[in-house]
Formats: sequence, structure tokens, C-alpha cells
Amino acid sequence: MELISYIARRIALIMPTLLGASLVMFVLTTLIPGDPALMRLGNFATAEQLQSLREEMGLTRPSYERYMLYLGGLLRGDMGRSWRTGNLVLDDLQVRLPMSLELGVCSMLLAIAIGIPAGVSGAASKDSVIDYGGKAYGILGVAMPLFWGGLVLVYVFYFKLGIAPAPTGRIDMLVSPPTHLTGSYLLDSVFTGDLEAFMSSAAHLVLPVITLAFVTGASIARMTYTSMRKVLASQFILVSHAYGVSPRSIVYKFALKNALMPVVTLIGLQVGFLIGGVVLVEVVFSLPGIGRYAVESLLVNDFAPVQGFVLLVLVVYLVVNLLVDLLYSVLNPQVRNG
Amino acid sequence: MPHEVTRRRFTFGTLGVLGGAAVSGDLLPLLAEAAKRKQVLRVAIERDFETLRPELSAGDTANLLRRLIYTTPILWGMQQRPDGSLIYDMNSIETGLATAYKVSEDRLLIEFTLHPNAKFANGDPINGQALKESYAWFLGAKGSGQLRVNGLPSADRIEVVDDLTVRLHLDRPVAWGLIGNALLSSSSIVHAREIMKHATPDDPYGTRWLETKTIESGPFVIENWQKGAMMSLVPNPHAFQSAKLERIVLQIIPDASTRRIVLERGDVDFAIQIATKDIPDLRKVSGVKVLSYPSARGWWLGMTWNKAPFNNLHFRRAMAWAMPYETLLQVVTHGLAERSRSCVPNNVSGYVEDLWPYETNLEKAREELAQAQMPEGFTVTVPVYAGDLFDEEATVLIKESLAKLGITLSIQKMPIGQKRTLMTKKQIDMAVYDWRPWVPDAGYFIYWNWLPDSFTNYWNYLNPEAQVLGNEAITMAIGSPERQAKLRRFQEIVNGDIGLVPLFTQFDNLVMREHVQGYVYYPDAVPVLAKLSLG
Repeated sequence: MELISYIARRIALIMPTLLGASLVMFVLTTLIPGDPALMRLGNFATAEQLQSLREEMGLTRPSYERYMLYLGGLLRGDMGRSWRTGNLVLDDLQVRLPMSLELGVCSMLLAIAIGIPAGVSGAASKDSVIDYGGKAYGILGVAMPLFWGGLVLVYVFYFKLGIAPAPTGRIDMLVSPPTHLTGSYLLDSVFTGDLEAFMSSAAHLVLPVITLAFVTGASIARMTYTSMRKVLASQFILVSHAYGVSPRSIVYKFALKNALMPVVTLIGLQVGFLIGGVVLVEVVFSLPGIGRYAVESLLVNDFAPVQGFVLLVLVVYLVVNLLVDLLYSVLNPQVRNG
Repeated sequence: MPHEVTRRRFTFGTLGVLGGAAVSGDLLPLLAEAAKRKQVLRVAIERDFETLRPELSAGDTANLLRRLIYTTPILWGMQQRPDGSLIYDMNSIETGLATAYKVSEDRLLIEFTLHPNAKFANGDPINGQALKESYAWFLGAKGSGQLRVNGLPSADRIEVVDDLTVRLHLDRPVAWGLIGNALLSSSSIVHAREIMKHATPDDPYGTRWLETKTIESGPFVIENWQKGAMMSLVPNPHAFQSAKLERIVLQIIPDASTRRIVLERGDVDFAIQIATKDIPDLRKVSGVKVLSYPSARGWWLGMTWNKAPFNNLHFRRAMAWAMPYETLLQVVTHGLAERSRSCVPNNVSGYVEDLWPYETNLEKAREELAQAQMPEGFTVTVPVYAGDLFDEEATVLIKESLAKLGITLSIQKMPIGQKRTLMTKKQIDMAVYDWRPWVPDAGYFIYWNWLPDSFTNYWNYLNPEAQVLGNEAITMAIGSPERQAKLRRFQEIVNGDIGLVPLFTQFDNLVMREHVQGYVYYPDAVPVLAKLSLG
């Protein structure tokens, strides 16, 4: 019952947070000195054309009126229209979100699969080659700029070795995308048994996922290492050794579960980093996700998509952190009871 | 239809593809499609198409698509360069939708004879009435400004003589009247009747429908458009000219270095917007063809006429003497540009290059600054479009040069949208920028840049004598000796005022695989992909 009340309180807080974010975003985009109508018409416009387009785009209305209209639209599930694509922002985001989710989820899973074992094995074998290797990875991963990492991978595995597919998007240019079911090419091709599409889309995800997971995994590895070292030095571990419990059981059964709590928190926080990273990776690998959509819109003063992107990311972030908090209480009943 | 999903198919399919994907990347589909590729042109483009509305098309990518899906009555003629490559010819016109045209001696009447078999993609005829409706649609929607500039202010000036004959009665002679009314974007032929079916009281010209849907009139039709990712086009079954290509795939690859490497590896046949710094290296790559063309895309240092010290002639002369012209050519453009010496770009009709005496000379710049009585420690904020290497590097080099004169440039990076807005509002004191006329004519450039009400007269330049000369040149026939004399005098005046400091005029570099044939360079540098073939 307490848990349900806790979840309800957290969900209730999401609404005012989103309202505040929408206001901040609207004010910020209003302050940016740029004229979307001018961007759309280009150099060969006339003053008359410009004014007419400004009216068509609703730019001649006062800011407060535009915000109220925007807010009214949000309540109806309308995030506005992108002048750059001509579509409703919600439709654009729906088309692009599966790509970013596919990339983000695969990257996070791989990051966890790399980061936690690296941190655990490093902590469990202190001052060994594994320990130093793990530390080196932690430093390199955190220090490496994502954009650069992506370009290096492309250069080596695509350009030089020719074993990775061309970074030209989600699927090979001459392969038809799978029938649309969820928007995720991986899932859709599996569900429809489209082997060719699955192979191509999976191959196109490998380098982007490695790029993101390498960096995200490094933070997880560092946190796991530190947390594990702390737990392994605690009294109950010493007692377990004295009782003759096998080192493997001590590490994986007792220590890891206790060391995971800060790691889970970090994973929740890493979602924010991952979304930022997705933007860069989508540019390098020509992936049509929500990050690239937002950046390209921002560059040409198409603000409705930027506002929509920020709200969407905020919702994802809030939901993931709520889930992390819930997981926290599962891992440590003291939290739930306290 | 989706395939039926069974447990067996799911299990074996998943295992098979996981293994296959892991070891083979995407080699298999590539091999399987190798034969098809011979007829498929794969093009790497920088960004997605914003709209299918031709009256709004801004930017090279949008224009590239416009040339594929919308026809125009005529196109530039072409000629061969000594190296065998093809380039537009100012003195000839290629007929297409219009199989013949006439321009009256007073240049107030243009008559087109239309192709008898011209049809839209839905099979409707492109006849005289359809042409008039297309122009009328432009005049009603946002394209009216363009047509008015070209002497066609209203639809009642369009006369449909019969199904195949249309006359445009211009309200005044315009130097580029034929080209402006029959070749530029505002003369893209749209299926106005179909568009107007989607008109609403809020949207009286059906533009919302046209954002994402259209009935094509050009040589290709849209087959598949995955927003943000790619677009594929196939030949228009009703086109009056047959296409050699079976399909064109326009793949969006936003990063310039990625576009370069996929071209080098042969995963695309043609790449748009390759960074100039990569051109020298690409010339050495086997299988890659680089074609460089002197263009009319000029780069300038602009200064406001609204306030001191920028409106002080001595200050402006000091700037002209202080520019590192050769360094800009070598460092910024890697030698792929030519020095500009006038207030209109190189390679336009009427350009005169002997009226600009300024070379890099810091001593003379100091003398002029002394006469300008500049305050000590003068600082000027210069906006730079973040992401444009030419803009960034040129501004940095100019900053270094001016620092030697005690002038500090404070560089402010911003997105292109912000910079362009500030320039249009005439709120910038000094900036490096570029401008390319779609008609390679000095008068056309003057119309857009140098008259008091010119849309891109960002610096508020005003000289009454130059204004009279410019207005006269707009209406006179291109190439006439009298007009050439007026254009020369115009440049003498504006160069004397240092209206702008001309920095350089860049080359347009087109990069493609060697098997791509038939590329023709046009003044707007927009590739007409429908003319290409794969050898």
C-alpha cells in the first residue's frame, strides 16, 4: 500500500515538472534571435513573402498567446507542427523514437554487460592485470569523446577493414525495411521473419551500440569497482571467508548484491547521458532518431520539435528514475520500509 | 502483407540471422543487390527535404529534389569544357516542357510552345491551362514575390492561346525575364488543380497537403520517403523524356566526413556537400571523380553603413588593405577559389576586375586607420555560423590580421538561423558571409544586394548614383554594350565606397564515382540527377 502511494506521489509530481519545463523551453526558444520564416524562404525572399509566411506560421502573435496555444495543444496531445518536416511533432517523434529506443536500450544492455563484470572482476582480483585493465578501461571510456569514438570505429571497421556496414542509416540502402509493426527494425524483422532486413539492421546497429556502450559501460565499471571494493572490505565478507565460503560465492552471491545499489542509481542517471550521446551517435552513423531530429531542428530555428524532444526526454528520464527507485526498494527492503 | 510468425520460424530465423549478422555484416545483401546497383544511383545528401512545396524550397538539398519532381519550361543550355566535362551555357537554352519559345524584341512578351505529350504523374496533361494554373498558384501562394520580381505580377498576364501555346505578358522588361519566368524555382510546374482540392479556409492554397504529398511533373516520382532517413525515386511513367536510371536513392548522411568515406568505399555513387578540405585528397582516390567549376558563389566581408566607424571611408579602406587575401585562398579554400575584385562575384555577366586596387598591405591599412581617427582598443563583435568551415576559418584569419592593427574581433558562434536573422534585420556591424546568384548576371546580383530595398542589402548601402545605374541595368538586355558600361560604372562607384570587401569566389567541387556519367554544372550548382547515368 505504501509503495502504491509512493508511486502515485511520484507520478503526480511529473505533471508540474512537465509544465515548468514547457514554460522554460518556450521562453528559451523565444529568446533565441532567429526567424523561422526567413530560414524557410532562404535568400531569395521578398519582404512581402516573409511577412505572409510569418503570419502563416503564427509568428506575428504575441508570445504569451503562442504559449497558451501551445499549452492548450499539449493538453490535447498536440505538440505543434514542425515547419521543417511539415508534420505534427508527435508524429515525427513517433516515427523516430523506436530508432533511438532501439539504440539506447541495446547500448544500455551492452554497457551493463560490460561494466558490471569489468568492475566486479577488477575488484575481486586487486592489483592483477584484470584490475589494471579494468581501471584503464574506466579512464579511457570516461575520457573518450563519443563523437570521436564513433568516427574511429567507422574508420577502422568500415573504412579500413571493410567488416562493418556503411554508416548510412538503419539498414542497407538496397534492402527494404521490414513491415512496420513497432517501428524497431530488429523487432519488426524478427516478428515478420524478414531475415535480410534483420541482418542488415542488426549489422548497422553494432558500431553505434559499441560506441555508446563503451563510454556508458566505463562509468558503470568504475562505480561497480568502487562499490565492490567497499563491500569486499566489510566485516560480513571477512566472516564469510572465515566460514570457508568459496570466493566465487562471496563475490557473486554476497558482495555483488550489496554493491549493486549505487550501480543501479548510476544506471538511472546514465539514461540522461545516454540520450545526450544518442544525439551525437545518430549524426555520425546517419541514424534517423529523435536526437538528430532535435539538433537539426534547433539549427534552423524550428522550435516545436525541440520543445517536443525536451518534454519527451524529460518524461523518459522521470519514468526511468522512478523505476530505478522502485528497483532500489526491491534490492534493499530497508529503503522500502524506511 | 506481414509473414506468418510461427514458433519454428521465429526460433530458427532469429538464430540464423544473429549468427549471420555477426559474421557477415551486411555483405550478403550487398552482393545480392550488386547487379541491381548498375541502374540505381545512390546519392549521399546532407539533410532531409523540408517540404515538397516548390515555392518555399530553400537550400541545395531542396532544389535537388525540385529538379527531380517538378519540371520547368526550359533549362540552361550546355557546353563541353576542354577536359570533356559539361557546364551550362549562358548563350543557349535547352528546351523541355517548352519545345520552343519566343521573346519579343521589347522583352515584354514570352511565348512557349508546349510538348504535346507532357503529362503529370497521374496522367493528366500539362497543357496551356495547366501551365497557367501552376503560375497562378505560385502567384497566390508564397511564390508571388519571385514572379513579381521577374515582371509577372498577376495571373491575368498569362494568356492561354491554345492547348500548346502560352504567352506571358510582362509588366516591364527584365534582364533575366525568360530565365526568371521559365527556369527558376517559381516556374516549377505543379498540379495546381489537384493541390487546390486540398485547400481549406485556413489554407486557401492547399499548401499543407503539398508539404508531404504532390503530383509530380518532373522526370522522377517519389517512390518511398522515410523522413529523416532516405527517399527513393523512380522514373515518372508519364514523363515526356525517358530516364536512364531505374531508381535514385537519396540517403541522408548528415556528417560530411561520413559522406566522404562512404563515397570512397563505393557505397554511394554521388555525394553532395563534401568539405573543401577533403577535395585534394579525394582527387588521388582511385575510382573517384572530382569536378571543380569556377562558380559565382562569392565570399565577402560586410560592414554596416549605419554607424561609425564602419561608415568612415578611411576605416573601410583600412579593412580592404588589411585582408589576408592570399592566405584566405590557400588556407580556407585550399586553393579551390579565385580572388574576387569587385562588389559582384566572379563568373557573372558584367563582372569587372580592374576596379579594385587593394592587396594585403598593413602599412597602408595603418595610414588609413590613422586618418579614420580610430579610438584605442577598438573591439567589434563578429557573428560566425558555427559549422561552416569557410566562415569560421576566414573570420579567424581576418581576426589575426586586424589584431596587428590594434582591432579586436570578438567572434560569436551561432547557428545559421540566428546569423541570417540578425543580418536580415541589419543588426550586425561586420561579418563574413557568402551569396550565390541563381542567374549569373551582375544585374541580378545588384537587384538582390545593392539597392536600398534589396532583401539582402544587409549593410544598408546607399549611393544615389549607383541606385540609378542598378535600376537601369535590371531592365536592359543582358550583354548589351550599353548595359555593360552601366554595370562597369556601378562597380566603380561601389568599389570606390568599399561597399563590401570581396574576399574570394569559391569553386564548386562535385564528387562522384567514376562510373557516373552525364553530370552538367548549372549556375545554382544543383545537380540535375535525372540527366545522370551509370556507365
